[in-house]
Amino acid sequence: MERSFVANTVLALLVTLTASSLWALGEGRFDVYVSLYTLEYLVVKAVLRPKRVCRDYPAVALLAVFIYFIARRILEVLMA
Amino acid sequence: MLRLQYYNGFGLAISVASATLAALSYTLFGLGPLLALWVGLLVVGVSMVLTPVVEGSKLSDYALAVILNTFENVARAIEGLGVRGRAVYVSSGDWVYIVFGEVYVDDLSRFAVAKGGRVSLVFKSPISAEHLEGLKDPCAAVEYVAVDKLGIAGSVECVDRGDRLYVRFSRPKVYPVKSLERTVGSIYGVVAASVATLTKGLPASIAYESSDERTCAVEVVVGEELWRGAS
Repeated sequence: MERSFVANTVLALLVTLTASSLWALGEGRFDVYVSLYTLEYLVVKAVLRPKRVCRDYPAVALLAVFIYFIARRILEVLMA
Repeated sequence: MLRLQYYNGFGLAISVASATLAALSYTLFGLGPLLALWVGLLVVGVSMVLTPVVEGSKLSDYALAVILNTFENVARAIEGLGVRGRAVYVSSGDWVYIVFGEVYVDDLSRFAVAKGGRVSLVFKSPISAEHLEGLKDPCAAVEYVAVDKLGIAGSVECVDRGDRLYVRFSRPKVYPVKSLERTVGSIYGVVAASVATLTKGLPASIAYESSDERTCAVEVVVGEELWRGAS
């Protein structure tokens, strides 16, 4: 049980740190932020294995958004 | 269903607030760092909402000993009656029944069914849907029951492969009774198989169980054919 609380706390810290660091670096691309959130969420999920009352829908949603951004980037390169 | 606790409520408040701010930021500034910040907080909020909060205490050593003695009596009854076969865990409504024997049982309310010199016994599992508090993920449910509620293990490692559930209970509090392992399964096996049956809605059986002083490993196989195979 404690592990799930730790996972949420670590996630909150990572998200805050990511947003503030990228902001300080002048990064303005939204997809960079979301890609890093996805990475952080999946790492926290794999390492701390927090419990969920249902399927881990945030992981699925983040992964779907991440795949969408990657696909868009690849298309941009191919079309250029 | 799991009741909404303060922790989940706080998560819900973060989710709603960040979703509102995200919509506002998108309207005013479009895709940018500010929107990304709210999206990040939305992810954290949703994660908090989906985290189960456990209330209640673990069983005392005394209560565990009583349960284990009752369990051992089940093993003695099976061995004493000379029933052969393997245990299949079948759910019916909110309950799980442990059917042990070679004869197909169509009425789970009966204790024993005999056909052509063969016998099957039906026991009610101590774990029912009520104990899972709405948890749908088998691994989360096994940990919830074994660690948080019963306190029979220090931690649980679990892998769900769809038709198979691998569970390793670390720092077991009770030493599995060997006679039980040969019949219905130890208390660890019963917890894993009952949870697998309830969360997947399919019959389950303990394919493998092994224990030592530090861990207890259980492999549960799940599938409709397990129950049909008993017919």
